[in-house]
Amino acid sequence: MIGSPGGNTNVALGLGLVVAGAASLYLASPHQRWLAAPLPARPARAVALALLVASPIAFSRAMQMVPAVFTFVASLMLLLVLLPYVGGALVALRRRR
Amino acid sequence: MRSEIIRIYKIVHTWTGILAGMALFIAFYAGAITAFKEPLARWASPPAATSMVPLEDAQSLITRTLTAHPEAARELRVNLRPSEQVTARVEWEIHDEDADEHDRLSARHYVATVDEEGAVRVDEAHPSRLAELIDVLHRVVGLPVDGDLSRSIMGVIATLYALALVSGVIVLLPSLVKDFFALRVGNNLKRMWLDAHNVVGVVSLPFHLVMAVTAAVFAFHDGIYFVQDKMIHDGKRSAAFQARSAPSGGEPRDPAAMLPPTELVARVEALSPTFEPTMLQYVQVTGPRAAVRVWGHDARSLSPRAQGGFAMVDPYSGRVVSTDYLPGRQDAPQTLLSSFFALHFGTYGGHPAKWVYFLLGLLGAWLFYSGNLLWIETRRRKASRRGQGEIPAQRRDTSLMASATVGVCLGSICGISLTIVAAKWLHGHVADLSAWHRYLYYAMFFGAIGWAFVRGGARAAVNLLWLAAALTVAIPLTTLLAWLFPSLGMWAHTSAAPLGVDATALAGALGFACLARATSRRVYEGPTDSVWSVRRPLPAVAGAEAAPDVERATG
Repeated sequence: MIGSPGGNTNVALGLGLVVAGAASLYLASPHQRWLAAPLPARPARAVALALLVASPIAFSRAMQMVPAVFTFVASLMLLLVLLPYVGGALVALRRRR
Repeated sequence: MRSEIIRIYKIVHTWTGILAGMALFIAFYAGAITAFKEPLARWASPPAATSMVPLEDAQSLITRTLTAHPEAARELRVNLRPSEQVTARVEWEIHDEDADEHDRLSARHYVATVDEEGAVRVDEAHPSRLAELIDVLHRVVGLPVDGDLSRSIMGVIATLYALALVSGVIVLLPSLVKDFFALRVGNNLKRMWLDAHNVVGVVSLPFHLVMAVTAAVFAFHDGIYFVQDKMIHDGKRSAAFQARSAPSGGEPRDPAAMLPPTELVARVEALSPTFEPTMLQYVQVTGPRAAVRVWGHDARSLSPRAQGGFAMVDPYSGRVVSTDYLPGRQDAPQTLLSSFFALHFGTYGGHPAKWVYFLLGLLGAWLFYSGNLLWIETRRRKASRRGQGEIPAQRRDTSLMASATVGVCLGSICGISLTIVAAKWLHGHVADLSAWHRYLYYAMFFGAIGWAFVRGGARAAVNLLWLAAALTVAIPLTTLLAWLFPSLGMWAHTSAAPLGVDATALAGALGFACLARATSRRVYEGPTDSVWSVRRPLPAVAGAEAAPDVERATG
C-alpha cells in the first residue's frame, strides 16, 4: 500500500518503468531531438511496450487495479508531453551555442 | 471534399478556442493549484490558539454543544487528525440562507472547545478561505461567485472546450501519426507554436476529454438532477435517496445516546482496514434520519470525492448503513461513477498522481495560451525576406488578441500569487480576509488587463511576467520573513506540506523569471514584423538586413 515501505517501492518502480518506457518510445521516433539519430524503431518500441506493460503491474502491487491503471495512464500522458519539450529545449540550447 | 471538411473543423476549432481559451486558462491554472488545495490551506492557516480536545472527550463535547446550539445538529464535524488548518475537534458551518447552496465562502464557521473550567465554549472562527477561493476560480473560470449563472457559463465554456478538442483532433487527423512527438524549434515560429500546441493537445487528449465532460456535468448537474427527477424518479428523487440512506424512525433522538466517535471509527475500520478516517460528519443527528459519514482516504483505492470517501453509519446503533462511497468497498457501478470524480480531481495514486495532475493542469493552461499565440502568429504580417520595403503594420485584431491574452492569463497568475501572499500579510489586520482575498485578486486581474491594453501585449508580457515572478517568489520569502522575524505576526509552518507550497512557489517564480527573460529578448531584440516586438524599425534600405532597434530604452 502507498505509504508503506513496500508500497512506496512499488510506486517508485511503476514510475521508473513508465519513464523508461516513454523515453524508449520517444527515442525511437524520427522526431526525437535528444540523440543524433533515433534508436532502431522495432527493438526500442518492443522494449517500450514491455516496460509500459510492466508499469501498471508494479503500480497494482501498491493499489487496486483501477487506480493503478489511472496512475499509469496519467503519468504516461505527462511524460509523452514533457519528453518532446525537453527535446525542443535541447535544440534551442544547441542553437544558442 | 476532405480538405473542405477539415477547413470547416479548423474554423470551429479556432472560434471555440477564441471564445473559451482564456477562461479555460484560468480554470486550468487555478485547477492545477487546487490539486494541492490541502497543503495550500495548511500554509495559509495561522497557528492554533488552543489545543484540540482529546478524541475520548469528543462525545461529551458533541452532546453539550448540541444542547447549547441545536442549530449545529444540521451538520457538525468531528475532526480526527489535527493539522495546521484543522485545529478544532468539533466545528460546524451555518450557511447564509440567501446564498447559493454551493457557496461555501459566505458560510459562518463555529468551533466548540472546552475552557479551563471544563465548560463548553463556542466561538465564531475565521479560517483561511484562500484555498477555497482558488478552487472557486477554478470551478467557475475566474468568475467571483460559485452561483447558478457562473456555473452555467462554466458549462457553456466546458462544452465549447469539448467541441474544440474534437474539432482539433479532426483537423490533425491527416498528420497525426506523421507528426507525433514533433516539436520543431526553428525560425518557422508558426510551425513551432503549432507543434507546441499539438503535442500537448494530442498526447493529453484523454485527460482533456475527461476534464471537459466532467466539468460540463458538474456545471449542469442541477439541471441533470431535475430532469432525472422528472423522468426517472417521478418527482420523488430526494425521498428515494433518503429512504435508502437511513432508516426512518418516529421520535427525534437524544444525541447523548449516540456511540462515541472512537466506536464509530472502529466500526468502519473493521470493515476496511486500509481505510484511514479523517473526519466524522454528523448529519441531522437529533432527527429521525440521523447519520454519520465517516470520511477518510484509502491509499489503495480511488476516492469518490475530492475530499476522499465515506461510510454512512447510524450513530445510535453503529450499523454501517452504506458503503456506496467508501473507497475500496464500492461495487462495480459505484466504482465506475466514482471514477469520473476521481479522474477529475486526481484522487487516486497518492502524491505521485497529485503531482502528475498539477503538471498536466499547468500544461493544460499552456495549451490555451499557446493556442492564442498560434492564432496571432498565423495572422502575422511579415516583412519581405530580403529586408526590402516597409515593415508592415500588424493587424489590429492580432494586437488586441495579444493584449487580451497577456492581460487575462498573466493577470490571473499575478492575482493568484498576490492573494496567496496576502493570506499571511493581512491576517489580523483586516476584518474580512476572505473578502480581501477576492478584492486583491480582481484588482490585480483587471489591473493587468488594463495595463496590457494600455502598454500593448509585447511590453505588458515582459512587465507582467516579471511581476508574476516577483509575486510568486514573495510566497516563500514571506514564510522566510515570518520565520526570521516572529514579531511580524506571521507564521512559518515547518511541516512538509506547507514547506512544499513554498518550494513549489520558488520553482514557479524561477520559471516565470526565465519566461520573462526569454520574452524580453523576443520583444526587444526579435524580428520587428510582429505584435511581439516594440522596436520601431528604421526605414529600410534596399538590400539591407532588418532594421536595428531604436526604442529599447522606452521599454
